[in-house]
Amino acid sequence: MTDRVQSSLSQPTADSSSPDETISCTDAKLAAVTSKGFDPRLMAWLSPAFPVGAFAYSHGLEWAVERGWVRDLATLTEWLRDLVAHGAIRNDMILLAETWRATARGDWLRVAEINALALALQPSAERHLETVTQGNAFLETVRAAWSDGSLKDVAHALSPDVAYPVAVGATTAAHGLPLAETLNAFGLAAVSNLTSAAIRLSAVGQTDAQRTIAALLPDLAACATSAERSTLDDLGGAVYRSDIASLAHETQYTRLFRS
Amino acid sequence: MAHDLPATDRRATARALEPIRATGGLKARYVFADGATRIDTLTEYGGYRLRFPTTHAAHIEASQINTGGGVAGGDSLEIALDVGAGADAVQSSPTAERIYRSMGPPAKIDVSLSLGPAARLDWLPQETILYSSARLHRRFEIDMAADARLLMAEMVVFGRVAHGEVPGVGELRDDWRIRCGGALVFAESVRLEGPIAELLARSAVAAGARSTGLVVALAPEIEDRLAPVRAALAAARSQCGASAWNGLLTARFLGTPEDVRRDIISVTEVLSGRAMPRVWMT
Repeated sequence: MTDRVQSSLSQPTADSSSPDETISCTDAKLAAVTSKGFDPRLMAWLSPAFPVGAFAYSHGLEWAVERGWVRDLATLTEWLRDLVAHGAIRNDMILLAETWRATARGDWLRVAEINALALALQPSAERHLETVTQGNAFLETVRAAWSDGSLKDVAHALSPDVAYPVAVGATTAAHGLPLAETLNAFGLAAVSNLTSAAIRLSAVGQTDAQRTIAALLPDLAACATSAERSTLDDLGGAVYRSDIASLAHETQYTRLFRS
Repeated sequence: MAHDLPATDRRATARALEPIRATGGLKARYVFADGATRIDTLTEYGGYRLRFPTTHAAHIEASQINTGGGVAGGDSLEIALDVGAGADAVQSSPTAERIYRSMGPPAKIDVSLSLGPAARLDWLPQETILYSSARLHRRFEIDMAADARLLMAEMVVFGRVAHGEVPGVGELRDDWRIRCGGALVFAESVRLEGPIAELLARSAVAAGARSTGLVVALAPEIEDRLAPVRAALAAARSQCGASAWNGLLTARFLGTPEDVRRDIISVTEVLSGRAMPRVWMT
């Protein structure tokens, strides 16, 4: 293992595009210290503390709370379950999975194409802002703090703006993190962020927020499993009311959130 | 995903229906010449016709008619419009498009729209009604020059609401891709499959509403139109909202067919600066 770290350190990997060669020195060191099947980078990168500003976005939930559509454990759970089954959480997982696979084979044209589609699918200015600011911040932060230059090709393909799930898919693939675990972590992070927003909007308390997350774990697991096998042809949804909530939120009188 | 028939039965039904499937369509090219827009080439087939109501406007108004009365499962409809440089066209329809109950295969509607430099197209068909157990795969492929102007309004009604019909197991796949100056700028992908009424009842889906509407406009300086659109929506009866970014304006609607229709008309008139085509008002 020491040899591998040394050789990885001595060979700049920034210009290579095959998945094996894009493993950075950071990856090699981690391989030596982490137990099988668990990579703490997923927890770090998809934690609420990772500086992408996730706390600032409610994905239209603030309007749904304002109108009383979301007001307690049951209504919050149903709203989020719809986003997982028919909304952006499902679509984002599909986009993440497609990006992960394209990155793993070094297909940067495809990565750029998926990113353009992810950006074009946004239903409102605020949802566009939500995915772009988090995507850009995610890629920049991983590049600056966690990577040795192996993300150069990724960053080039995803310039100037990157959608959040595309940034996560490209970054995790370039660092050799497994797709299935990434999808599960991504879905959990999305739901956790929205339950946290629901707490700040006084729709539920701390305990009911946790009950919501617990109730949605099977939905998230099913969504991740299905996304792993999905292609761009499977994209799509029908959360008409959630999309309208994001539009209506733009003119909401008092707001805590940017979406 | 739920289906109304097992997959093997659906395939058998699809084969049995093969000989009677209908393919229809329209291909039209509009050009600007001698100070006015006129029809240059037109191909009509499989029961589709294009009519040009007499108007005194500088633009051309075309009304697409399905003489077959509706679209059955397995039917396919293709519409291709080419709006040449500087041409100005309004495309509408005199009645709703009806998608009948499917015995298995989906109805397919493929629309491709091309807008040349400084061309303008207002795509304003009347609503699409999905009968109970209808299956529809619809696709819009739009390619427009960077300085062209596009306005699209589409409305979908689930079930024959006026007859009190509750939509059963069906399917809607609706994909829109709009490229402007070669770049993908807008995409919409609707996937709704299974027990339609139960899905629509869900909170973030439609909370029981039976009709949806989407208006998309792309044009230079279109973002300046957001304030007047929002002003028009202040009197809306449907659940709705509007937004604008990156040279694009969208408005979305959810409600009863009457309310969605009324609110789409008010937003469309603000964006087009014209009255709705007369076929809408009869």
